[in-house]
Parts: sequence; C-alpha cells; structure tokens
Amino acid sequence: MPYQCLEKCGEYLVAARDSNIDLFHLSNGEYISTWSCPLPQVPSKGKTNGGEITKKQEIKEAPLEGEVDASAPPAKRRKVDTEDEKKSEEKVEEKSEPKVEPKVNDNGGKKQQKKQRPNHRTDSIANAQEPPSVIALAVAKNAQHVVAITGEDKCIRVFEIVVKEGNPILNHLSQRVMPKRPSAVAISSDSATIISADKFGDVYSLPLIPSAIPKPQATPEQTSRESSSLPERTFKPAANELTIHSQRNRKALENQKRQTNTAPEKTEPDFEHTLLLGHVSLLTELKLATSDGRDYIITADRDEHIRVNRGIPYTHIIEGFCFGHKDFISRLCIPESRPELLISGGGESDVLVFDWVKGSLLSQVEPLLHINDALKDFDLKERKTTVSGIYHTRQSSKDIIIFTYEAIPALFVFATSEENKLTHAQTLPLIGNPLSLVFFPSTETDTASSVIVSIDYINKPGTTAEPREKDDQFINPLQHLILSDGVLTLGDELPSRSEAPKDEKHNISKLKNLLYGLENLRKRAGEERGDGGDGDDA
Amino acid sequence: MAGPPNKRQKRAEYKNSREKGTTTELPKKKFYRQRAHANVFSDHDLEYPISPAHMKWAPYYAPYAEPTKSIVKGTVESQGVKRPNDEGEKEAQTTAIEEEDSRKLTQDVEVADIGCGFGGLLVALAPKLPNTLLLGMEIRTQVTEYVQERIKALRSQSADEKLYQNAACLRANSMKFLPNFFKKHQLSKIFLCFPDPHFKARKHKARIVSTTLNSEYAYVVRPGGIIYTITDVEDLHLWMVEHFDKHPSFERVAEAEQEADECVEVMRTETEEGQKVTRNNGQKFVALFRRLEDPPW
Repeated sequence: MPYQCLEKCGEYLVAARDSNIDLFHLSNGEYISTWSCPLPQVPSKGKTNGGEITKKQEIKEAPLEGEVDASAPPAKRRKVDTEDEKKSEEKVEEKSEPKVEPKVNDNGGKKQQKKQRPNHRTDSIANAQEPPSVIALAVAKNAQHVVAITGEDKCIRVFEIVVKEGNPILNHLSQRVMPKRPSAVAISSDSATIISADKFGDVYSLPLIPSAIPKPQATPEQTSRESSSLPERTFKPAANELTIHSQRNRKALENQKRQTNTAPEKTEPDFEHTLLLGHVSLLTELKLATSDGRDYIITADRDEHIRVNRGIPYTHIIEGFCFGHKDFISRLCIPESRPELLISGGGESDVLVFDWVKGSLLSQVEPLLHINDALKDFDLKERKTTVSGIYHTRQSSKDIIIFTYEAIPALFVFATSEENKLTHAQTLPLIGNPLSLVFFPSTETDTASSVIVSIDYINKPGTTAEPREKDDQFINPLQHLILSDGVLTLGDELPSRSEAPKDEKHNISKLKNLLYGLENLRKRAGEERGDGGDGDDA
Repeated sequence: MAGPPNKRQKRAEYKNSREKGTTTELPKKKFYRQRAHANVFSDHDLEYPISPAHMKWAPYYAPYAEPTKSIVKGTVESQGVKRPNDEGEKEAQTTAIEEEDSRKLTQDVEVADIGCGFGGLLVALAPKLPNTLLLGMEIRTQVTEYVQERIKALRSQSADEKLYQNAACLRANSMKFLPNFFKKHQLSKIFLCFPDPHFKARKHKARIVSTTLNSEYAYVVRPGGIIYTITDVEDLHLWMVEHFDKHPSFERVAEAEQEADECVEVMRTETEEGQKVTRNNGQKFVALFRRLEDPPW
C-alpha cells in the first residue's frame, strides 16, 4: 500500500499506509518497525435466544463484556466506504444465516425473517473484516507522542515512541472513540491536549494522556445494570395537544403517548472531552496558531469558511473569518517563520494568502498555471482540481511553499515575496501522484535539506483508479528529493523495505477513497433542492 | 415533493399573472405553501455572497442605496460613438445594472428575522422601526418568494407614505451562512420565532439554537444587542434558555424589561405561527438574551 500520511517525529519518519504505521530513520531512510491496527473487536456472538430485541441488546452490551478491553471500540455500525466492501459483507451475512435459520423457522412466517434482516446487517457490519485505515497523523512538539485517527471506527489513538530491544517502536497507549468521525487533529504546543475536528462540524479537546483516574471503576455488568435500573424514565413526548396543528401530527402524538418504554439514551463517550466550538458543516482542517502571545484555533469547512476562533478557554468567541474561497477548503498552512500568514487551498484553482488576524486577503495565485512540458499530457483544464497538500520550509532565509494536488504527479514550488505574494519557483514532475511530504532537517542555516515524498505507486500517474501495468518496474513508495538553494532535485534512492510489496492485492476503489477522498467534498449541482412545492404548513 | 401537475400549473399561472400586472394586491398564501421542514445540512442550490463585502444590498433596499457614481460615467459614454453591435450595448447595460446593484447602502441592516416564514413579524416591525433596515431570512424558496411579493405589494400600496422600504427578505440557510451576510457586530437584534422544534434527540444539531451556533450569533450581534426567541413547545423553550444561559456571551433579559420591549408584543401577536397558536389556545414561551461584551484578552 502507498503511504497516505507522513509526519516527522524527532529523528524518525512516521508513515501511515492503510491501517499500518511504519517507523523509519529519517537520516538514512532505514525501515525500523510497524504498528498494525488490530481488527475491530468482535463481540462474541452469543446464543441467539429471543428475537429482534435481544439481538439489539447484545450489540449494545457487547463492548461492555468482560473479556473485551474496556477501551476497545464498541462494535458499532461502521461507515463502509466502498461497494466492494459492502459486497464482501453481504457474503458474510449470508454465511451467518444458517446459524439463525432454525430460530426463524421456529417462529415461522416470512414476516419475521424480513424483520430480522436489518439487524443481521448491523451485526455483520460490526464484524467488519478489515481493520480501519489511518486518515490523519499528528506529532506532539516533544517528539515523543504520535496521534493517529483511524477513520472507520472514529478512533483517536495515541502512541509513544519507545525503544524496545534496541528498536524504537510505536507503543499504543490509548484509543478513544469519538462521537463522530474526526477529520483533522492537532496537538497543543505544550503537548498536553489533542484538538480534534469532526465531520459533524464540532471541535473537541481531550487530554493527550487520558486522565489517570478513570471514572469510578464500575465493572461492566454494574454499569449496564445501573443504567437499566435507573428510575424507569417513561417516554414523554415533547409536543402536546397545543403545539400541533395537523391531523397527522395529532395521530403521531397519540401514538407517542401510548408508547411507554424508555427511549434508549445515547451514550456519551466516557473519557474526558470538551466541546470547544462547531460549524454547521463538515470540517476539513484545523490549525492552532499564536499571535501576540494569544492562542487561536483556525478551522476550515466544506462551505468555504475559514474561521478564526480564540483559543482555549475562550473558544466560544469568534474573532473573524477569512473569506474569499469559492469552493470547499481542504488545506491550511501557517508558515512557522511567517506566523501571521495563512495559506489556504481547496477545490478551486486559486490558492489564497491571508493575514488571518485581520481576516484580510493579501494575495492569490494559481499554481496550476505553471505546468511544464512533462505534465502536458494531463488535461488539467478539463478537470476540477483539489489541493491535497500545502507544505512550508525555510532555507537560506527564504520561505518555500510546496503545493500538491490530488492526482497530479508534480510538486509546485513557490517562494514568498516581501509583499506577501507567492512567486512560482519550480514545477517538479514525479513518477507518481504525490500523497504526502516531509522536510528534514529544516533548520534555517542549512543550505540543503532532504524531502521525502510518498508516491502512489499503484495507480498510473495522473489517475485515481487505473492501476499501472503489471511489469512496470518497481517504484519505491517513498521518494527522496534534495532541496538546495530553493531548488528541488531528485535525490538518491532510499533503501526499499525488505518485504517486497509484490503480491499485494489492492482494492482499487477503497484505495481511491483513502488517497483521493478530498474530491468527494465537492458540491454537486442540484443534489437536493429542498424546494418541494407541496406543503401542509401555514 | 412536487405537487400534482395541475397544482403546479396553477401556481405558475398565478405567479406569471402577478409578474405581468403591476398589482398592488397582496399575494395569496395558498400558492406559496411549502413543507415546514428543510434539511439545514444539505447543500441546496443556495446563493450567498462570498463575504459581507460582496453582498449586493441595493436591490433589496433601493431608497437606502448611495447614488450611482456611474451616472457621470454613463453620460460620458453616451456622448461617445454608439457601438454598432447589440452585444456591446447589452454588455454595457449589464455592467450598468451590475453597478447599480453593487451600490453601497447608507446604513447597514441591523435586524434579522431568522426563519421569517411568511413575514408577519417583518411586516409588523417595519413601520415600528422606520429608521432601521430589517431582513427576513428564510430557507424555503416558495415562502421567500411570498414574502418578497408581500413586501413589494405593501410598498406600492403605501407609495405615498413610503412605508416598508426598510424591510426585505432573501433565501438563505442562516445556520451555515450567517457570517457571509453580516459583518462582525453588525446586528442589534435577531429574532428566532417559532423555530422547527426537531423533537428527535438525533436531530438536535439541526436546532437553530445550540452551544456552538450561539457563537455565530454572538459574532454578528453587537454587545448590548438582543436575541429574541419565542416558541410554543416548552421543551424547545427550555433548550434555548439552557443553551443561551450556558453560553458566556449571553445573559437572559429580566422579565420586566422583556415585557416592556415593544418587539415582544409584536412577536407574540403578529407572526403567523403566533396567530395560529392563539387560535389553538396554545402556550407561548418568550425568552430574550442580551449579548455581553467579550472579556478582555
């Protein structure tokens, strides 16, 4: 698998490929170790006594069962990304059918069977066959901790780099399942707090190391009993006869009143977490920034907003917005050496430069205008492009910004000018689509530094779901480049990993979603007009 | 869902006839009804400005727009040789319209009625606050159109007194795009009248009041400004009070002050929902919240 995220952590390179995280020595590119995400914990499938309801309970209680690690992700319905996966799950579903069959027969009747089907499905999805993919990485300033987000199980995982038997490894410290799937993550400058933005538009903070004293340790059984022995909270409809005005609503209310059972409470995560702020949109990026000694949280969403919020503990105050984008935003970059600038890109050709404290647009530039001969074959005019990366480094007292686009096999190198404009320096074609990039070392005095770029070696350059020919020569998933005096050149080949990834079988559509998922953020015209002419309101 | 064809046709005919005639008659609600709920998370086909500076307010509040600069420019052009091709002329025309539309207002919009529905509050408040610009924001196209027609008719009915020039309505998803329309601290009042209660817990994020969304109201409302809420659903009332109370930027307005506010009475009696609740002998729960100064930083 290609590496979808790279991060630098001290002297190591942390690289995520699908559900694994590899560790390399940055100095020589030597492979060290791998952490692999375990399969989601499968609840032991109990006896299938009783019908639908007990099954439901089983699923809910499963994560609380004794043998399962208390911090394990609950066997919840996973969001499945690809068709293929769905298919494979359906197969599983069929296989598990016979087990239940006698039961169904006992009760007889087709109706019963139909009723049970949906539950089957949740069950089998919970037993998903594949470990979740890593969708984002963050490294703490202290270079000891790494935070990874795994997508399908909505999990924030914290690792510590420890040396075990002479080899540094990623030691999995904790996993916390968030209420919604996180999409971006950052670690506070004191390396104590994780800040996570999710697809529901909310931003949470949680301690990097979960508080040592967990909530009063109740055995799983106790907790489940406690919750059920709570004074029977009878369902009380929020509406009354006076709030409804239509025949149908009246009937619905009558039905609700007849209903006596307690509505299932949605369980909040049981670890310490605080809701900081929220957008009514899907969040795509999150950056922590400082100006004049004040902390800020900058968030970007699918509805073209870049929002500047005060930092903790005043996150309820919005300081301003950086307006100017006409399509979704996918990436933000605040150059370390120019902390007053914010460079942002997304689903449009222009990249914008803001003074984010003032909320003013300083300049904009279109990197894709600088396409050289090597890229002429790719018809970029015809297709919509998405910025997939904005990277900054400083060399010989010059700020260098590199842009990458989804499925465009090149790096676009720019320099910042005095007037806060970006000027094109170079376009470097690559042998595959760039996925992620790190600089090292990035001390200002160095005149030459290395750049490692991860490459999609499975698909043909410029495409998102067209595998290369079988007999194409082996391509190292990590490419080594040299940045010298602001000019990028190809460097020596990195030592490739001993295990040749030859026999890997790739699920191309899954790969496409993992590596080229940003394009999915684009709004489709006329999707839902919300404009029905019908109406019963007054 | 689209209505049966004859219904749609009748609507089209009705609207066409309105467009042609210079009618001063108020529009009929029955041609503009629409399902009461809209999904605030979906994209719709919304039009919204890139930023408050990009918003073209002049077409909504024409009498408040600054005179065009291009009048001078226009005369210069007309003195020149007339361009022979129609296209050029058309182009000149569109740029003229463009310029006219992007004229700045002499004052900013200060009152927003979010989810204005059929515009009862807007129309009742406009004469009471004659020197303030009021904007109704509604997510349902048909209903927005109704309010626009209603204001147009009222304006022409009272052409002599020049009433209702300070009220306008546009289609918007305020939960997503409020900061696209209003600058920081631009508004002095926001009305949230009879919002969709979203009974299901799963839908609570779609409620117009939430801890996180209150921050956006605090952004567009100036310190000292007031958020007005009214609902007939007690649960929702308690929810709104809880969430504004919890938000450090707001405090609840005391009852005596609340009852002394003339807008409260208007909100109780003039909104369409308010009148309907009265007809059904329903309850009305009112709560006002004042925007506090931000703490020093």
